[in-house]
Amino acid sequence: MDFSLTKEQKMFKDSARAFFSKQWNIEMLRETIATQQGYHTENWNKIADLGWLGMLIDERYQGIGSSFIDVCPVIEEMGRTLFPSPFLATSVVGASIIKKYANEKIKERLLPQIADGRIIVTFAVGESGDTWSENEIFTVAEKNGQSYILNGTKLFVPYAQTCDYIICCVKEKLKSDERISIFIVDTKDKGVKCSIIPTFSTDQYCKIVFDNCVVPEENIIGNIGHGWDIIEKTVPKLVISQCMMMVGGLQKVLEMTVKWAKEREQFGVPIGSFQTISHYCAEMAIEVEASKLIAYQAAWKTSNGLSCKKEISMAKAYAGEAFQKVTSLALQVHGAMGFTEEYDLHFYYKQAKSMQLMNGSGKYHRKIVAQEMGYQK
Amino acid sequence: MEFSFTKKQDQFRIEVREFLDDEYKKGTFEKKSNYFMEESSPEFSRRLAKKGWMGLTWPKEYGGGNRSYIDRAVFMEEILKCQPPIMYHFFGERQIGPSLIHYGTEELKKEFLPKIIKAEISFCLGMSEPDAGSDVAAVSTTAIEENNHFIINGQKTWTTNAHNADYIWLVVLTDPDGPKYKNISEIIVDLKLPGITVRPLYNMIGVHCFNEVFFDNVKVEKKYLVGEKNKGFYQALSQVDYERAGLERLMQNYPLYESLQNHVRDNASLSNDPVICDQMAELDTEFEVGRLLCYQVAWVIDQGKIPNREAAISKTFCTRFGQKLSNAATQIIGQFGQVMPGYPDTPLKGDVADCYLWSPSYTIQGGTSEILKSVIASRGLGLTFKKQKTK
Repeated sequence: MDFSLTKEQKMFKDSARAFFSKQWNIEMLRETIATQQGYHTENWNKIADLGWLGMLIDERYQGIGSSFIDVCPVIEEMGRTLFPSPFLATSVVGASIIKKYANEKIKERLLPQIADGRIIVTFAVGESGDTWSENEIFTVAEKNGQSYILNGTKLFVPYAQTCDYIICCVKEKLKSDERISIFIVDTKDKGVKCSIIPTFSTDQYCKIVFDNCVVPEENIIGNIGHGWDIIEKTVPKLVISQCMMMVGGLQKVLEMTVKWAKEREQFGVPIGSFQTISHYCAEMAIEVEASKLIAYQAAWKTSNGLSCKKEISMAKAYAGEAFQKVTSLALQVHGAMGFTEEYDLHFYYKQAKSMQLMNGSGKYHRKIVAQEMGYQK
Repeated sequence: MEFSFTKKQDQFRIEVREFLDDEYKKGTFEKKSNYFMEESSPEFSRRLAKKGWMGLTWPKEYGGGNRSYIDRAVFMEEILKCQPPIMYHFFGERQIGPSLIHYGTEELKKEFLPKIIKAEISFCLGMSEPDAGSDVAAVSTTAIEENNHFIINGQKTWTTNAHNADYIWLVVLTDPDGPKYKNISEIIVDLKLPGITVRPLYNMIGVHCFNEVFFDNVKVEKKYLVGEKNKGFYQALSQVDYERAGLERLMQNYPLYESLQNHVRDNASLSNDPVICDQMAELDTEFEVGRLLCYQVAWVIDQGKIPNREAAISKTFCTRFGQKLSNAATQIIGQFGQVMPGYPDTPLKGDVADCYLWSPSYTIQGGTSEILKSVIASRGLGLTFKKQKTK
């Protein structure tokens, strides 16, 4: 057991902290999320220069080739500063799927471009269902010569509006059967129509309508019919990355609240000297510590190739509820100030709720935990 | 980062588990929640001592294993899964020994450490008094110097194990007129000395595990003062960080947890109930978090640091889990959740009712959750109490 970051992880974390404190602030967040694009091009390019976009990509494709756990501190810092970007979609999910399952041609073409920030890749799995399931994929692919024709609707796809490629999970109807496959879709095709879903999240989520979208056969990723397996093997990294963002956000909200409690005076003393307030802060500190440990355990196990389905769901269930609880307590401590647009806290409150709901709510993940415990078989 | 154990630790765990399995089969103990708090068995403690499992973290020169706190946590985790009787050596091994190693004179170390580590003597802790609970520094038991002795007068309460112990580790006033916090010392007192009366207190389960201890002109040799005179409060503070740090805070009712999981698994109507599944998953998630928090405390100690913020977080979290567990268990088994052990056909042999009654003590003993939150706020977050300004 060792609860400290390695030298390398600490280095990544420190440089991410330094980068965001210099290059990023809440004013920029306000401006960025008001745009159609939803992320900050200049900073996206800068983090490409720092190598972060290619951390999970092998060196032969111009990446860094880091292990998954080494990326986690960087993601934590993104969550801390609410850096809205397609990082998880492109550099975690996109890069992971392409490097592991795509053919050499696609890898050579796309991975270096992901690493240097030239393309944005997103993934489209979920549809009308709240959680992802093989049975809830209704977008269909129909074979037509050397191509497939895609029709259907995907919901809550991150940054689809401005992305270049969509890794898409579709169903193919065969004579007596159906199978799920993964296609990589070029958004330049006129059959792809994206629109932004007006969520209160600081991240952008979109709706995609595939209307007779044409995808060449060579754009199938992995073996045809094995799409769900790819999703199941990749989703853990997405879920853990999201936990990491929450851990970063949790830590920041605690710091903001403690600072506020020390500075804000009522009855002639800082409100943090009142036991009620200080105990709220202590509650928050407990949640922060708990979330951090359970999230890093899942990250470490995943990074080391250990099976940990239960631990991952525990992490998402726990951190999701904790972030919601902590941001609510933070608002209470801040009083009316926290409820204003001008103060920064509301962004965290919104993000916490969004993250609690995305990629499986607490209820969903606890169901997985229960199944792993041997219940509800 | 590393979230796994070393091969040696894994082997050690197996070794402890096999030993306990063996003892269980021999009938040494039942796997009953809170049992380790109730039962004291010198024989069992001595068998552990023979295995070399006492003083795992103590330095070699005092007969210890010079091993890490993580190793000790691995050992304790296995112990707590089974809950054999360990009260006889528990306080001595957990905190008296380490405190003596830290603050004691060579003479005291020589007198006590070998006996603790061989489980030849048993300790209890004399901190709380009727008017000094959370406010430890409000103790009023006095130890007044007279020639080569201290003369002790006063009363301790909630003294777990005093009825089986040979010695009591006392927190007393050595300078009754001195400033608060700087007037307290720690003294080891032989419970056989004249003037000491131990009176049993029964808890709400009807079990005798704590006591009142009265001191009437008890004469103790001065050499039994531990550490510096009048610095006892600060010594005691650092000791409680160790006291509240362990897995026992999480696993006090572990046997209940294990049998509850099996009970739900074995009953289709329960294991297919989505509300119960959600509850069980939430418990398991919190158990996992609690376990990580406990191991983190052990790791912090291994880094040579005092785990005060971490221990306060860990204890608050873990004891809340323990209460949530026993409350959930009563609801899952329904009206049988109020039936005490011994009545036929009660699910989980009445362990549920028993645990439910034990559980309020978790968030009180060893620092109430409120005191702990104040520790987290003040020492962890730098939020300090300030008196309101008055005009």
